Amino acid sequence: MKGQPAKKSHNHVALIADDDEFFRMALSTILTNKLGFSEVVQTASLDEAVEKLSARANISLALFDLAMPGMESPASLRAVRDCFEELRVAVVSGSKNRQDVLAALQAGVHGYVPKGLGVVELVRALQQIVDGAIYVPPSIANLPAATDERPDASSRLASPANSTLDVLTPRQRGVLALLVKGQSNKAIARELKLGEGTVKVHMAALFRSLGVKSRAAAAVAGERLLPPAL
Amino acid sequence: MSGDGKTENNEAAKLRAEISALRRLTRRIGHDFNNVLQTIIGDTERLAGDELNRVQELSESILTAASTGVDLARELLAIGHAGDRAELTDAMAAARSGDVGSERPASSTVAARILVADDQEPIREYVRSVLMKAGHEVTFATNGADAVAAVRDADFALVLMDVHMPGMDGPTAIQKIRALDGPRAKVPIIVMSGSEPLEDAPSLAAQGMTDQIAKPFRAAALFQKLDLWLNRPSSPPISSSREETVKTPIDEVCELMGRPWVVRGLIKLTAQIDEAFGVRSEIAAKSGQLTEQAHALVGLSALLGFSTLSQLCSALEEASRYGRDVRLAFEQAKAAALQAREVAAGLIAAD
Repeated sequence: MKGQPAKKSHNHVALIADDDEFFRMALSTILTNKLGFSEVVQTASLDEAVEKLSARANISLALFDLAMPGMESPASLRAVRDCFEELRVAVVSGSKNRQDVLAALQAGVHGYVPKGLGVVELVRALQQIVDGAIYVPPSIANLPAATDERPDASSRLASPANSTLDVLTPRQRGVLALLVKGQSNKAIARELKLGEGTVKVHMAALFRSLGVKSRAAAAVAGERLLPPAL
Repeated sequence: MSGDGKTENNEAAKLRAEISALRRLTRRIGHDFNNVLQTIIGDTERLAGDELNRVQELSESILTAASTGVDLARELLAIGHAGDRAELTDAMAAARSGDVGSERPASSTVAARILVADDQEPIREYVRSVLMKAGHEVTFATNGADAVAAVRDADFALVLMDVHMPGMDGPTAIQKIRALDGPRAKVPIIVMSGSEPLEDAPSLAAQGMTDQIAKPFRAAALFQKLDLWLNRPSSPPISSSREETVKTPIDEVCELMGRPWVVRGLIKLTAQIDEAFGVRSEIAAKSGQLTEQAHALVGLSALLGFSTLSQLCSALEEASRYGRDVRLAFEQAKAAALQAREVAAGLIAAD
């Protein structure tokens, strides 16, 4: 990648959400050295990522691993897309499973980058996403063999109809528990020591995961799902 | 579009000349095919009447197939080089003159020295013609014992091994090669199996088979295997005539991340390989963990430039998740992992 000057860009901030610290470091270096980002915010979970995204308005690119709590359903990615309209969102995952890729695209991501690409290709793929293109692994164009269609909902980003508590992040569960008690966003934010914007993102993800459109309906669904102790 | 009309015409004329030269080549190949057929059939004089007619028929269909094949090859070349007429002309000229050393169509591997062990001459010749097109250097063995001796006495980047051969068969030869002293015992061995899938693939893999390819195979399928097994830091090009310094993936990552980070990564990789493929890894007992371990290796190994290992771990992850062909996937990933581990250990030690 020599001879490709890092883009001059002031105050370009990117965010990485990946629980693998080693991979985070590599991505972070690529983003600053090769793609001209001035700062990279590193987070190890979806919840943490949502908090940082809500707290800082100048983040322009967010990269999410799939192997984290909260990523089992496309709802969270979709909520991130809904709540941060200007943000470019991409998945960087060890999986190049066709169904994972398609589910992520349906959630509205701007790219799906397999970790298996290796450094040089990784840089190229991320550059395309930063430049405004949608990146998908070329293998997605291979017609799926009959055996590739797995009826067992094997995708990590399975359908949102699967509205069990398992697909929620710890934070989303906390927010839901307080919503069931009838608390406002402001009160929930105070209680969980979160920004109000963060609560809004969690709420958007909750609505999608539960397949509801209002706070009242979410509260009813939450009451059914949450253990009575809460 | 570059260049003016004149050069364009010039190139078009050159292109036409090359196409007619290729047509002549087609006829010659047809003739060679006929000879090959005679060899296969053996003593044609013993044949009479209907049998002789059948041979005639066969020859004709082979002739047709051969010319179609060359036409197809020409088309493929044209598609591959679409948009760059000059390059296409060069490629065709090279194909015609047989000077293919500098052309490596359909394969991105570096030229390598490859041993082909098969008792059937037509197969050996076919494989050689395919490999030479990609610029590889080919040595033949006609039975298992010769193959073992060849690997013992010279460095090969890869071995293509038939299963059934007179004297020592392929599986025995693989065992003997793996039992050799020194690094030559680790050469990747691809078994050329019959059209039936190998029944004992897992046990062959356990004995040291690196991969398999079913006969008859097309050039593209063979190149795919070569890309998988030749393009990695653990098998540097053997041909010393190519002095160009190719930057290896590990150099790229060192440049980007710095050596200390890479060494830390290699240590981590080694630990993960031991965990997934070490002595205590009885595959059946831990299939649940296997998916996770393979998953973890996909990103890390790719990051450090072990793309073969990454691909095989990705395949292993899928196989393990859906319970399909897990043993074969495991053995293949394990072979690549142990090689990567050795390379990693060497790099760590050199630090």
